[in-house]
Amino acid sequence: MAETLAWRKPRQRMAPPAPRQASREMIGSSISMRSVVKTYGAFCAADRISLDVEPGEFITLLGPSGSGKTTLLNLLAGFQTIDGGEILIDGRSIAHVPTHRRGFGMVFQSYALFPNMTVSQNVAFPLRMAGVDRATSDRRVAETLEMMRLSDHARKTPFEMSGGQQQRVAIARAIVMRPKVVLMDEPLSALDRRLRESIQIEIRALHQTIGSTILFVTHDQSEALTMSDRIAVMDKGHIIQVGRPVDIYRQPQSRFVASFVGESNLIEAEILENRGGTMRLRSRSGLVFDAQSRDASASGTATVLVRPERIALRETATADSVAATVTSALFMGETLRIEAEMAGGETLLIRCQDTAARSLPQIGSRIHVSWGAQDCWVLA
Amino acid sequence: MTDMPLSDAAISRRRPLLRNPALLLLPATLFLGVIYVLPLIDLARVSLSGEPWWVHFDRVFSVPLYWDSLVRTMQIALTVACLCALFGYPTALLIQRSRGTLQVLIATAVILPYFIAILIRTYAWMVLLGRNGPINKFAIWLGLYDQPLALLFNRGTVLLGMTAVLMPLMVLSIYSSLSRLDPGLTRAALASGAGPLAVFWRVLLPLTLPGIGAGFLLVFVSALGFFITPTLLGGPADQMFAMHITQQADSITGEGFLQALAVVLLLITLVVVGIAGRLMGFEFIWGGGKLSEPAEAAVKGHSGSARPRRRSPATVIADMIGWPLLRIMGRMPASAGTWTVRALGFLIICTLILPILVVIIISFSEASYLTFPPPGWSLKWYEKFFSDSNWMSAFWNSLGIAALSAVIAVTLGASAAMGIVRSEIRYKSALMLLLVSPMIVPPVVLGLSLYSLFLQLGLVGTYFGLAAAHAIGGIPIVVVIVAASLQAVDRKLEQSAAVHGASPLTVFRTVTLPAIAPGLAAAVFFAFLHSFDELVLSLFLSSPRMKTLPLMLWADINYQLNPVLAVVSTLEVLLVVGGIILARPVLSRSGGGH
Amino acid sequence: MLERNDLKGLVSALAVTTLLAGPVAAQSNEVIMQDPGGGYGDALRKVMYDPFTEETGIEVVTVQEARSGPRIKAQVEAGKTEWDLTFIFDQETKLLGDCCLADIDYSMMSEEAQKTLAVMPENLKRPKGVALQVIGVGLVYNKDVYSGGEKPASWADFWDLEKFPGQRCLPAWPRFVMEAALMADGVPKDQLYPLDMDRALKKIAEIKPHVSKWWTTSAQPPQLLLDGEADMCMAYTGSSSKLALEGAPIEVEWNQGFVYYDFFSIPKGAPNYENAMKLLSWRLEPQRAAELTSNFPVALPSSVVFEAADPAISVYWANTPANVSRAIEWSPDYWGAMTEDGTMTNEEHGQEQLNALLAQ
Repeated sequence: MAETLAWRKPRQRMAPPAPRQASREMIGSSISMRSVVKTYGAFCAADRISLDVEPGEFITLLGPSGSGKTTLLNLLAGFQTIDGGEILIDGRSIAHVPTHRRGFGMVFQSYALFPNMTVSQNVAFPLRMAGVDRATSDRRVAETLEMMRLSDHARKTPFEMSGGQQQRVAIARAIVMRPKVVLMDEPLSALDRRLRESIQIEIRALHQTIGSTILFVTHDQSEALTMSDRIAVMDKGHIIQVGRPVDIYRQPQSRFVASFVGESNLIEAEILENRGGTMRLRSRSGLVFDAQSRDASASGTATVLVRPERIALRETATADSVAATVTSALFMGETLRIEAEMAGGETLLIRCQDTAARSLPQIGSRIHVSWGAQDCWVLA
Repeated sequence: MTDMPLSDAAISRRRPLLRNPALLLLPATLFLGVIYVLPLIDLARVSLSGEPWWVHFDRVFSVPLYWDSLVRTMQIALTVACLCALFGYPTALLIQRSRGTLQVLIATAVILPYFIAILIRTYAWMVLLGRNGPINKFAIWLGLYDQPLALLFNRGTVLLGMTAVLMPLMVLSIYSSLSRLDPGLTRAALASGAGPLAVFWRVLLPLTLPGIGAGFLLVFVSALGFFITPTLLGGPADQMFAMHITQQADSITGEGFLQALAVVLLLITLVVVGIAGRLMGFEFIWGGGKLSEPAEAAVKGHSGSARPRRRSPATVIADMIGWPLLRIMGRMPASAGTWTVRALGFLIICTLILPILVVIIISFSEASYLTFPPPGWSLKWYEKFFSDSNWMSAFWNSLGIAALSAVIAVTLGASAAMGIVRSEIRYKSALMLLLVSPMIVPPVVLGLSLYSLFLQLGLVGTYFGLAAAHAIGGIPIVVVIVAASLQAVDRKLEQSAAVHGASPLTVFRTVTLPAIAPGLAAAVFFAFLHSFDELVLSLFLSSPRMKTLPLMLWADINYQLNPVLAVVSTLEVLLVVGGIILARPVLSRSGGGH
Repeated sequence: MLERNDLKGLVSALAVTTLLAGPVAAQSNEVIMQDPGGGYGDALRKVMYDPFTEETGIEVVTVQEARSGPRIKAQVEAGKTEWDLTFIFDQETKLLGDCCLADIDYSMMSEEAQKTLAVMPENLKRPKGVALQVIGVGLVYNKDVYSGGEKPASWADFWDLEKFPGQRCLPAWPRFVMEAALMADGVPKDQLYPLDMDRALKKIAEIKPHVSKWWTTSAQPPQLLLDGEADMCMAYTGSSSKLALEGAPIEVEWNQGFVYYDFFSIPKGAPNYENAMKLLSWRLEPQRAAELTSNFPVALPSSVVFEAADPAISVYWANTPANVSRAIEWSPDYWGAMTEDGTMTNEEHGQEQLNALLAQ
């Protein structure tokens, strides 16, 4: 194989080989999408999407399948042609730069390792395409394999390796050029949970080391929360919300984000009083409680998010608690998962830590639950 | 970072148009347009040149000879298709049910004849059924009758020969739909208490119906234009429509009428294919899945999976009649069904393989006439073949033409397949239809239409002319095989190469080509074989100086049946077997297509 | 990967060789000749063509084709004549003469050939064609089958299945078959033309169930007789006589047989006109023609050749006086004439009628 793929003279590429110890500020590119549109017939996969990514940022596109996140990634990679708007890398349009000159690295869900090449040939592929001389290339491949703890597997073919190893080879290939932008298309979804978590951490550490801008696509919200600097939640061709994981989780701006990211109790309530920042509300079951809010002028009814783990279980009724009947109780290891019906007919999902003091409530037993103002978030 | 290579954006600004994969469709489309569509249009023009314009067609439909022949042709084609379906199904089941070496053997027994020229297989039947042939000899030995019977030249032989010749087409079509079935379905049905017959009736048959339908139509359409087998095996009462066209080609005043006959045959074929295509999708022609049209692909994901169909009147009737019948049959011992399948399958495999074996044996005969078993053994007919300059030059001609034709077909066909699979143009299905349509046009019609074009261009009897004509039929084969293997290529691999800096050409060279290489090799082999075996077009387009092996065979079969023909047949079988053995790893991976 | 490069090399090498070996332009050292094939074709190759090539260096390329008329017409009309020398039916020298056939330059014939031509009837050396083969069609039977006292001697006998039971074979053409049917039905041989086709077809329908094969090439009927597929045939006398001479149990009956001539013509625009004339002249030389006929009993209609031939063989010639006197005068003109509605020739009309009958 090595004989047929000639090592050609260095050719100019978008990202010239960068020094190894580059700081992250120097390496990553900024990405700017301006009203990007992509349609398939009548179906709009990307509807005037705008998104700015800082240099060196780890941003995750999160959404259910068909939400347009992969389309966006494909447009960025140049696999598909853009129907409207533009994408700028470091302020320059890439509309007319073919895929192979964009100088990105990319990791695929199916790994997409070349079956006819060994591990080191796979990793060397981008270097070879860039015309890097053989000695440099060998050194860089060795370094990268070392970094991904793959040095022992250099001569294997992809089929001889486990899924996790294959994915690490794919990551090695994507970063061997120290690209300004690395695209990751659901890279972990084919792996089992344990492996997924260890590679998540590995990728996160890698990002710190190489400093590339990483655009990560996933439909797994916990993965997105764990790894990202920022998350862009997508649905039906739109970006619904962009923000830090903690903001996305704690202060979602829509029902969709609230229910897609993490588990949620959404309570319909009447706004009794709006004090700018906090509100007083009354649920249908008559419970009056306070909640945090961004909207200082809203009135009428609102949807309030209470995360299951923020709900406190009380042994006995207190002034701020409300009674509920247990309809389901599951022991899940570190947590207990309890569903209970409130007086007004609303069902609450509750998660609490498994402690020695607490036992799993009987179905049909009465419990008392409560939450504070800082545990509730009024959806915009 | 002062050096921003994005500046070369300007250079590549005008490239996207040239890089559009749809351009790859251009060479094949132009080629077929000039050498295939235009002559057919010209054929129609000449057929309408009478005064008044319909006079020739009037003769086709008013003279009982032609009208009767048309009806007869339809009857024969329909009967053959039914016979193929009836016997092909057990054979396909047998292949699917057997395992290991046995499966390979049975599959080979079905596939091998498929690659051997129709002319040779028909000749084998002439040998088998001849007055001194093995069947007569065997029956007399058994004491069934004393005097050899005239088994040849009647309707029965035509049906037998055509069914045997077209059987592999049906078996492959049914087998491919059987093998796509989830084996869990049968188990699920059995576990739910369905007996073997009920499994067949309720699960296998409904699910493989598309495969049967596709096979049925392919056989029917091929049979409509059949010429070689009925000519050699039939009597005057078995004249099929295509034979009238060749007969009229020998008439001085036939101009116009001749073309009208061809146009009628072509139109009937197209109407049948058209109706079938509307009902079940045109994919049956190339035995492939639906092509993804760009708009369709996106919508598909949202429209959800197909709903179970409602009970059609046909299934109601089938249930009313078939079900009680099966219940009665179900009383038979459980193994009866298995044995029926085995017996029928064995019969079919014998029918497919026996003639070829007999021909191989005869080629070593000492006798100068056809008799079985041979009175003595000798290699003299091999000597005769290899020392006869006519046979040898025909052999080299065939080899050269087939090689050139394969080059043309593979170059044009493979790039067209790239264009079809990879471009996002509209009317993709229509283009695919154009590319594969030569498969269904009766060769007699094609040959006739090409003759006048080739005369004008001075291509009659040239290497290039014959190779190009054969490539018309070779291109569909190549397109189907290469498109199938291209669709199996993981797009992510190509994207991964591109995103890591490989130019489109490098992507093709390092990723796509290695992945489709097996399919490409198979395409080369089949395109070569198609040309090597081609007779009907050559009959129209050859010249005295340019005889191909099939032409020599045809002349000899018509003039004198001698064992040299058996020698040629044996050599062809060797070529095919050798080719299949060489290509086996390739074939098993690419799945064959057709 | 290596194989790929190899394959590429192989393919290009193949392409180059085929292109080089490809379209060979018509060269002046060959002549393209239509050939009847079978035993006659073998004899021609041995006696005529091989010595011709040896002497002149001109290669004789043969093409097996039963009928050339329509092809000549198509080729000449497209301006792409492929053949140099063809044999056509009597009537076709007239039908195709103006449009498609070149004049034969009799002055180019050798001295020897002139001798043959000198004693040939005027009607047989036309500007557009020269009769080079006397063809006989007669009743041929297996004498082992009909070994009794009475032997079939007329078409009436051929049709008489009680007297002569057995399988028959007939050509799949209207010519000869219709005439024979009419004679079997009692029409005197001098009142055959114009043919009563309906009456002939009715008579043919009578014998149809007993015809095992409607043959199309001259090599078939002797084969059928030898294989036992048929016991009595209407067949070419040439190939049948050849087998009779070799001792096969075959007898040729000349009574009510047909005698006609094959004309040798050169299509207009023939690529090798001069070579064709050389070959024609070569074939007309009496000694060589006599040698050919000793190998295969098809005669040349010239007394010079007749005298040069072995009498044991010339009895089988169609134009020996004894045979001719019993044969009928077959009318090529009738078959070549147009039907009343003018859309086709009588032959084509008859063919259509016969085909329809056979298809029933």
